[in-house]
Amino acid sequence: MMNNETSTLHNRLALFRAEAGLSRKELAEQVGVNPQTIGFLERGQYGPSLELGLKLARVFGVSVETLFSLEPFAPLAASLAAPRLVEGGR
Amino acid sequence: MAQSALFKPPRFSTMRVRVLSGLALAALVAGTIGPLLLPIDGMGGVMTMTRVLGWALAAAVAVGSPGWRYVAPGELDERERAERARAVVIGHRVTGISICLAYIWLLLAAPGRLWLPNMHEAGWLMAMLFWVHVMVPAVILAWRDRAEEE
Repeated sequence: MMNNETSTLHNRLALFRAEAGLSRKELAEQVGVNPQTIGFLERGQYGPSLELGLKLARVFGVSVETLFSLEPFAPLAASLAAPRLVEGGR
Repeated sequence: MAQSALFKPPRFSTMRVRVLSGLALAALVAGTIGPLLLPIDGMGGVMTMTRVLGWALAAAVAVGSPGWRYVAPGELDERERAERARAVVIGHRVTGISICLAYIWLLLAAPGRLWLPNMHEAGWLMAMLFWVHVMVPAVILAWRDRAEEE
């Protein structure tokens, strides 16, 4: 993971944080960073270190690949619609 | 570790750094560049006080923000450390370019064709360069900073 502004790392941090019902401040406290850093991460303006990425994944109980990806994540609507389309086709 | 426990550097809010650095810059420019451009006595009490005020405000900015000053272990997280490093690099570039331009001016001005500062004016300009150099990282950090909505 790159620690720079032009990081091409994509993440679903905001989605997981909203689902967990955590504020940026609460999440920041759990991983030991400034709340603003969570905002920078969510906006894709900062690529975290491997250590921070692992800490964030641990908070949500998922693998780091579930939270971060080098490729853009599929839109949530498309992800939810895909299984229905498969079921409807049967 | 014992040293970090003894000394905890102050940390001004982003808004305070922005306001203080703006005032410092205004005082430095008014007290240093003003007497060079306008028919004002630079050695007078008002101009001297203006310069001293600018130096004091710049010192407050430098001490109250983790830009140029010492940073205690654990004071900054990894993003803040990266931003600080970038701001310090930019500050060094600004100072380096300023010194280079001053040197070029000196070379060109040597034959007497261009204006050169007298001893006092050169001292004011050097002081302004120093205090701007000290402030730049803190100013960059303050303007990069943004309040989160939560």
